[in-house]
Amino acid sequence: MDQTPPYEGAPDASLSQEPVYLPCGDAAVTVQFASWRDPAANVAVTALDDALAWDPVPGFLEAAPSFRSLLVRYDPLETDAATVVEALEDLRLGALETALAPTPPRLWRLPVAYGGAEGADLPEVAAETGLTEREVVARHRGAPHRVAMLGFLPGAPYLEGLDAALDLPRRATPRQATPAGSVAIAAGLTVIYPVESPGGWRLLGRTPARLFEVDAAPPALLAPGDLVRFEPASADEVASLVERAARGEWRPPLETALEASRQ
Amino acid sequence: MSEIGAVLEVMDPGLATSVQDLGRPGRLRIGVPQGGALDRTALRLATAITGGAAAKAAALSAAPPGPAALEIRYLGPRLRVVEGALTAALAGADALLHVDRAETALGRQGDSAEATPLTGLRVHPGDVLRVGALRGSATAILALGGGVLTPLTLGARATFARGGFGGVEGRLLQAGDRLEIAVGASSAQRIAAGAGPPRAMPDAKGVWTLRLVDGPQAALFDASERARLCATVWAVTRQADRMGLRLEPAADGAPPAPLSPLDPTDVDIVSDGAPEGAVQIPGDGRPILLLADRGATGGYPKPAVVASVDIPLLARLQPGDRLRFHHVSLDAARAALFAAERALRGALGHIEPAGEPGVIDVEKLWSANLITAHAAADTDLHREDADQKPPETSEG
Repeated sequence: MDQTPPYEGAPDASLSQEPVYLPCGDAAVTVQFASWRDPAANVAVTALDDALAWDPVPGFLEAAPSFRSLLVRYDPLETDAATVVEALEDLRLGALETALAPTPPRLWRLPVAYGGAEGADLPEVAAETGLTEREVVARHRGAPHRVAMLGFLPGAPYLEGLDAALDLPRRATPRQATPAGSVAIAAGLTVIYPVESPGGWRLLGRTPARLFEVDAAPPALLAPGDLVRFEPASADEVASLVERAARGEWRPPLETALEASRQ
Repeated sequence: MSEIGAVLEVMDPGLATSVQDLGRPGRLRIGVPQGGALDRTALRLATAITGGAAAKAAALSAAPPGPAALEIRYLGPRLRVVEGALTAALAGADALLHVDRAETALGRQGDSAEATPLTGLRVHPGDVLRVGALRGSATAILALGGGVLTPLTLGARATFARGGFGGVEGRLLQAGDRLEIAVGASSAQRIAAGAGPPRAMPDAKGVWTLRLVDGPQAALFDASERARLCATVWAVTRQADRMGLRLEPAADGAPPAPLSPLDPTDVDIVSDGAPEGAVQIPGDGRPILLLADRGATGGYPKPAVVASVDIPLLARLQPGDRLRFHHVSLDAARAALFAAERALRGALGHIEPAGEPGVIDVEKLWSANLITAHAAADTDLHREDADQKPPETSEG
């Protein structure tokens, strides 16, 4: 194939910057907008993903947006990489225009019981950052976090927007079991565990929000591009909301970011 | 909604048997891989044999989810027919599908029959189906009638154990589970002898060859490292499941240095989407082949991806198997895929009635209202005939 591009893209791609189309086997291509994690690139990924959902290219199977690239799977019996790349490039140029008038993102307010049994690593995070526990919580609940992608488990979000002072590596030894609803940080990001699973992220707290329910429409609560604001709650409040959520009586409140800015 | 034609009870689940179909594409974005049968070729062949016209059409189109079947790993299950009649067929491994016949008015107790892969076997209430240890493959498909009717979850019946949904309660089969089976073919069918699609085999030294095409991080690895990926004979380790296969160098002598990217910090990339068949190189330099139930995204570089035509072959690999990679162009991979698909569709065009030697067609007798003392006497005669044959093992 002649469309194999050089690996290195522009260091800080944005919507208007050209992505590189990377080969990804004979049934997918990877559209990469930046050489490292970059919020502008993530916006470009979301825009192309949306455009593809509205106007699927022939033979398209599914797409998986991630921090700085979009995986596009196609049926190799229906089409080929060169045709898909050409169609994606047309879509990207079209998405550039619509992105001038973006729809306001959704803003979720997620209650979190910080520290204690719900956030077992809060003391350690405070010690390693030189902050008090109260300061760690203040910095984490501060600015809204943006869902960059869903990934390691069904419905599990990776959130950008972590305060730089809280940028720590993962735990040296992962936990065998991290409880469902755990809000955890590492590598400059926040994640939320939808179900109990092993994990090496540092637990700050627990949210009662149910992130993935097979019978819900859509099954994943959060979507790439959504904003999330964490709001401190007591352990008792969270425990009670966990029960109400399990009975289908509670979902976290949702508003558009535009509404939020008017309050 | 499909009509229920039969009900089976799981007497023994085997080692790791799960309900699988062609999976649920479209949800990778929310962290759910397509999943489904590891060996889609075997699934399409077996379900077309047992499912009748609708299943054959589904097998030809290969549009997910298609009818669901049982995916067997290493050791097969024992299943008892509780009610209804159905056809069962095995595909994907060298194993026999056995049936121990129930006692009936015709006195068939103690009868047993067996079928080779790609051959349907008709079973009735009280009959017990069993599949023993698989040979030549880690995985086989056992198709049952028009398909296993576990509930559609997120668009498919496939079991996704890591997510806890699909199949029977999102888990592997357990003893006591009841499986409802859709109405399928009304008589036993098979793929005509010699018409099955060609089956890849290891070379004379027992080494498999898997074709590779470039992956998204190919350029992070020096050409010599990528050449080494293909020059090394790899062995499948015991870390082998529906998520992936971990490999290690098979060399008897000093193990070669682990594969590494040009820039050592590139062992951790920004997580991105991972297709089925991706060759992932973690920090220890030993490849992991990602399979149907992989994580939707991965943070290790993927210099290569197994060509689509060889994905079903990954289902057959078991711990200890040795393999070598062969890098091909996208055009060559596509041409090979088209050839394999033509062969598969050709096989689906050669489905014919399967005789069941040594077994009276009870259903035909029932429907012709001939269940009489004569029929029972015929069965006894037939049995005497069988007893008079010299045992096959006495030859050569």
